[in-house]
Amino acid sequence: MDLLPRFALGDKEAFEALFRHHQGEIYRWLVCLVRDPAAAEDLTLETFWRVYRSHAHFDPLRDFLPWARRIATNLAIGYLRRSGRETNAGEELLDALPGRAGCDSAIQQETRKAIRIAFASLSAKLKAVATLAIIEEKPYCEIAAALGITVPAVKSREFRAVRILRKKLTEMGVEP
Amino acid sequence: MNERQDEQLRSLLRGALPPMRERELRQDLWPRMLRRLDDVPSRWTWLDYALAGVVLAGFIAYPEVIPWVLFHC
Repeated sequence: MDLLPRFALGDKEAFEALFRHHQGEIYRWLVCLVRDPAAAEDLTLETFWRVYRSHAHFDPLRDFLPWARRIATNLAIGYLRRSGRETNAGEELLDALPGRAGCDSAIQQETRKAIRIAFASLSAKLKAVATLAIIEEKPYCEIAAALGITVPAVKSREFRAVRILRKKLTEMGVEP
Repeated sequence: MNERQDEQLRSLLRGALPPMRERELRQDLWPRMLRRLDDVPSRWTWLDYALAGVVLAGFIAYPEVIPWVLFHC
């Protein structure tokens, strides 16, 4: 029997095969969203845990990855909503990047800081869309499938996120 | 003008928060997943507790059935 029908019946070996094949892809998706490698690992496990528990609801005629990615995205949005600290994690990662510290002018550093503060003020849903569409440059159709919304809705959220960011930056005295 | 400004803002955002898409998983997560799958405690629902309570109450009310139950188990 194929892997997906076996998984839908609750076969643990089929689940292991799916886990091993897709864990990297789910992790990469999650790390893009939450911008924290440790949190992305935990969320990857939580995603597959939910996937395993929901095996009976999985339709083996459909693709596994989009289904798992949608579960992962919902978890990531919940994480962003709860924590509200993803930009701090981003700043830690930025500090760790080679060649960043010390080479920026004070103005550039201040602008970056203002952008991160403005970005942190976005709602979790807008943050997710802005991260995937603007920062990670993922295709709109992929984002729409992961969020369970239409492509025009993704574009609308992206537009709103940009408008809010611009407004916040203007309030902070930064002209983008 | 607006489109140009939007594109500038997008570019600034990418500069402030660099993409993470190249990050790879540092380790195989299957051993952790397996531990989690194996560590699932058996969960009792309210119905399980209710049934257990009824059986216990039956044993207290009619202790003479206990040997009969044990014999047939």
